[in-house]
Amino acid sequence: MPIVPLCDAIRELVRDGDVVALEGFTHLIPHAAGHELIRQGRRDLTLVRMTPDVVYDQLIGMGCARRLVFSWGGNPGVGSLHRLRDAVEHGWPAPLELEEHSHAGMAAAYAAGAANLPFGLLRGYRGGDLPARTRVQTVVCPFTGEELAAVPAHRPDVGIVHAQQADRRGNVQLWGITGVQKETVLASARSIVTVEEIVDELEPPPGAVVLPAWVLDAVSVVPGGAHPSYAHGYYDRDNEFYVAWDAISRERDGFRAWMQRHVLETTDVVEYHASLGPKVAGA
Amino acid sequence: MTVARPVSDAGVKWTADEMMAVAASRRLRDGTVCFVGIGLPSVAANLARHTHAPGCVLIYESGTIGAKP
Repeated sequence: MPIVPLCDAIRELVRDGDVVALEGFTHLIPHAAGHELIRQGRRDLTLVRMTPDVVYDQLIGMGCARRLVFSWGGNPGVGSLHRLRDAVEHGWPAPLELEEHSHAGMAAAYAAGAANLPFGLLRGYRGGDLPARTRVQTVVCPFTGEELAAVPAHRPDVGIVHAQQADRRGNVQLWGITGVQKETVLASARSIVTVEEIVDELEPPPGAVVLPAWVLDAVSVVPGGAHPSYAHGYYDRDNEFYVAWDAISRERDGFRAWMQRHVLETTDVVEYHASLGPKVAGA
Repeated sequence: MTVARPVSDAGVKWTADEMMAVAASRRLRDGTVCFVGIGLPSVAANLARHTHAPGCVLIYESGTIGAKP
């Protein structure tokens, strides 16, 4: 299992029309991988994510997505995702289908996919109208008769996550808030992990999750690859960027100009960070 | 959105957000286990944890239990 440049991993493993999950809840969000999908002009993707935030606002605003499978869309603590809203309300730059779930439903769906089971089981989706407008069914417990919710398993074509470390054989280790990254990788037909660094030996901190090389298709070294999210032990969340994103993404022209300067005109994460300068560059 | 800050009898100024956070934090007791939303709810829960309810257990949707942000 080779350690390859991110551009090669994306080029070989992600195709137009794929179901792609970029996961990492608050922490270790694979923004650099998202930028590379945009640079390579992927189209008609079904994007899957718990809390689509800035990374999917960017992918949707650049026309990469046809459908969004998600739980809670927004810019956490800041407000509305303007590009997501524009796509849903005005079909700009392309119409976007929505499949909405609860966080627990998404997590159950990933866990079911990872276990090669057909659906995730949970006591959820009650008391609202979501079941009438999403892919959720009621099942009856064969032992107790209780009605429970069944969510179809997530089986992405490609799962993409970011982690702190890999060793030279491509074994990956992540720690801190580890979310559903393991389940996402195991549920996906193909997987890409971007890492902060390669180390000689993986020394496990408490609560670390290990993804062995033999379940991964590509590992790429992408230092700073979570920005504006954070990597526990490496750098903090760029809270100012999340706030600034509200203004950057509010209008179509300003958004496209920012993406042109900081993503399309950069070739990798190093140039992306250099383009931002010492402080976040506004529109 | 700018809102004129109300002034109490003692001349202390406060915003609606501040009043909501204080009022919500007072509903949490020491030892309460609380599911916390992002934004103002998190301010309220942490205000409780830093003041009258140091044993309040905060659970966030990211999967943290006993968080001390």
